[in-house]
Amino acid sequence: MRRGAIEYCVLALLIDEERYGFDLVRELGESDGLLTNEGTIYPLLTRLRNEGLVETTWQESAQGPPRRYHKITRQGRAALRSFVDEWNRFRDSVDHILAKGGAT
Amino acid sequence: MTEVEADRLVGDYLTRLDTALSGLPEDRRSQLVSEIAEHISMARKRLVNPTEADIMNLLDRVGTPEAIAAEAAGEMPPPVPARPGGIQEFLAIVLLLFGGFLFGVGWLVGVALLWTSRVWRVREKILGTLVIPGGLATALLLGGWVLTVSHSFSCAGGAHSRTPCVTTLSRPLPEAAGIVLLAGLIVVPVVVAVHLYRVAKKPGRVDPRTTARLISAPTFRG
Repeated sequence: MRRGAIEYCVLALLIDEERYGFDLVRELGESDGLLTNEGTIYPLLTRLRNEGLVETTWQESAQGPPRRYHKITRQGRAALRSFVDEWNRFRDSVDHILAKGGAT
Repeated sequence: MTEVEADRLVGDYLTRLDTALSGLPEDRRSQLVSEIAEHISMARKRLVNPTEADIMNLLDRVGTPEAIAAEAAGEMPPPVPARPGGIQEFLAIVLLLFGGFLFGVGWLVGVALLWTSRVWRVREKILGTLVIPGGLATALLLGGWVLTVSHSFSCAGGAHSRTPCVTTLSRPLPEAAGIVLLAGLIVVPVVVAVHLYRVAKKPGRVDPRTTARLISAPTFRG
């Protein structure tokens, strides 16, 4: 479940700005328990690119060699919107059941 | 810990990663290794005088080579080897067009090659067979027939009549229609041949059996 959700966290981080892989890892790493293997972000980005949800371009960087920047596509925004709806419903249902069972 | 020792730790890690990724296509594998190497070098820049433990923690956070390989194996779409048309497809197209001139047998061989090819779909095979049986040889034969002029000589009132004798030219079809038909008979098979050629050259056109095998292969995705 976590792995599936991370794809959408990446898309959400790209909503307002283009970012490069290391930057995404740092952002995701600030949230506890989200990203356990930083390296897996790179195959994940490739998958998002292959699915047309993200576009990748090389850009010059102030220090060091050019970097791959990732940008969300229109298709990516649509995928994120439908995930958010689904996620809200799912979260409410789980919360509801957990509360009824007295787990929280 | 010296820089050299840290480099060695990182180098060992990247070697293990490269090995773990051996299932990926070569270009994808080297790209992923270079991305991770860049990631590690950026992470290292943030450490001041790192100890061996610092570097090991850093590599732990990057993840085991196996975990990264498992994620990479789930990349979509699956690495489908392109199977563009080869000599069989080329021969099939040539024989479909010109095989009819070899006593018609050449065309039949072309049809056989067409149907045994694993590149074209049934739709394209039907098209290649029906448009047009015999290929250009048919065009030549039919064209020869439609453009044939037959002469008939008639004298209405008999040999001694004053009515002049008339020579009638008759054709199976009006001349313009015959030319259009002939042009069609040449152009249409050529268009079909070009279509078959382009389909066969299209990268990613795969044998359905190959695709089935790839789909059933484990992908390591949860």
